[in-house]
Amino acid sequence: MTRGLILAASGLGVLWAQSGLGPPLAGYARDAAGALRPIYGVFGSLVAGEPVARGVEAAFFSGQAGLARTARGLWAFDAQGGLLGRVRAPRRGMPILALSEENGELVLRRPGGAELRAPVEGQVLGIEQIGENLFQVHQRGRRLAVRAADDALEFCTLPERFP
Amino acid sequence: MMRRLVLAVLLAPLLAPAQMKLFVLVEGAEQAVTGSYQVGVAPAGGHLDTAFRVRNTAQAAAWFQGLTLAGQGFSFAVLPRLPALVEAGAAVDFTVRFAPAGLGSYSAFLSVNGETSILLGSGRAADPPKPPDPEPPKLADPPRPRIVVEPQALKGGQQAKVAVQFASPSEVAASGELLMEFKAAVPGRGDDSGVLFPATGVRRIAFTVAAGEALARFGGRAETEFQTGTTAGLIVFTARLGPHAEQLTATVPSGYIVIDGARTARSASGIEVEVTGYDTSRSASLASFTFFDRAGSVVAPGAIQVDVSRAFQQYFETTELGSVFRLRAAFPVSGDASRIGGVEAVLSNSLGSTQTKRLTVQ
Repeated sequence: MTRGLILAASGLGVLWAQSGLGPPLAGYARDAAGALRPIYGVFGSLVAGEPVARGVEAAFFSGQAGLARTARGLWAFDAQGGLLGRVRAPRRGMPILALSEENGELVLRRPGGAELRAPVEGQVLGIEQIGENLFQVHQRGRRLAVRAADDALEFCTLPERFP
Repeated sequence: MMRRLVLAVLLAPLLAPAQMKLFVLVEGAEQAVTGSYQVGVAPAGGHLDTAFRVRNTAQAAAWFQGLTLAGQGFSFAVLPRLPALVEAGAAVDFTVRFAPAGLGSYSAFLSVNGETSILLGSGRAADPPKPPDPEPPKLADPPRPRIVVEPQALKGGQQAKVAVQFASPSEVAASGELLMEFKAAVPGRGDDSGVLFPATGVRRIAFTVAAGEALARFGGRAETEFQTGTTAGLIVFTARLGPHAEQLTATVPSGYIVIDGARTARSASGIEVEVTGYDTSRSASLASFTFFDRAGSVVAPGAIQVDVSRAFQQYFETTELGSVFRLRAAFPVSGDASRIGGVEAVLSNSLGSTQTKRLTVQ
């Protein structure tokens, strides 16, 4: 056992008060009506919350922060759905993850060139990152949630929520 | 003299000679009855009605005051009001019913104003039971729906499929709806908002039935997904279609805590560990964290165990999201925190323990 490096186990009572339990936030997703909603739960049991913005034309959420484009511009928001401010232009750079559709397959490319592929049924109308390892794939009449697991792409259906 | 004349006039009908003639009506025509008349054959248990007519064939009115019928199997079906003053040429009708109790010959005496005739009849074997009248045609109802869940054995945190099928193709086009109801079987809040149809985001979804098809369609699809939620309990499906309301109850069982994701982060004072998952049994009791240095050796004091039962109980009492959770734990580090390279977390409930893989501390 390593000596000279000690976790303050004796102070756990205080630590627990500083920590705690809460609902898991899977991400933020734009629905077909242009509402940006938080998505709670775990993969396979997701629930859409109340919208934090409407009139959203495109959105991205990394798991820590996000961008939402509306007719009035591009806006940054935090993990609590709070508005951080208007963004003049998105920063250019290498995305951490990238999911695309190629010839009936969804292809996830990781930094370093690693790829994950999985066939997808139906026409893909659009793809947005909605969480740290989570994407939504817009299709006619439904939205798929696609999770980038360690060695595979996992699929489930994103729950709709109508006002 | 005048009084005698009036009395004679009043008594004239009584004094007039008997002119009442008995006829039987056959297809509306009068046939005189003389002596006897064969009414016909009737089935045992059935009956045969015969219409008779008494006509006053005299030139003056006459009283019809005597009508009797005596004989087994014979009775009056329609009787005139008697006595009746029958004008000259006029008639009075009545009906005799012959109802034999069994096979054989029957007879009866029919007397009209003292003139007697014999009625004869025969009983034959009873008619076979009359088949019931066919039900009147009506607009066909859609068939009784049958709810099919796939897979049959459900688990928490799952998107399964449900279909509505019929034993035979529907004769009519129809529309209905499929409903879900959830009843938690474990302590805490009784509902789980994760139980829903993703296509609608709620626990109700419409379907249509096309004539000639043996299944319902959900927006054109033969089945639709549903989420089982993350809490042990019962999901009750109800398919409403026309006059039918069929139900199916599916069970979401209790199980080990499922860890859906875990990550770590360094903070100014130490290390934070975040674990997301769900506990269908809502009986989480213990969280254990073991830290490792970059060489893979366990960091003192070893496994750090935390009693989380009370915190989880309180959380499950209030959350609307079923039994999903995000557990955050912060650990101050005494010494060079950069030497910590990994951590493993173990979460236990009443059914057992679940361990994360070793998480790299970034």
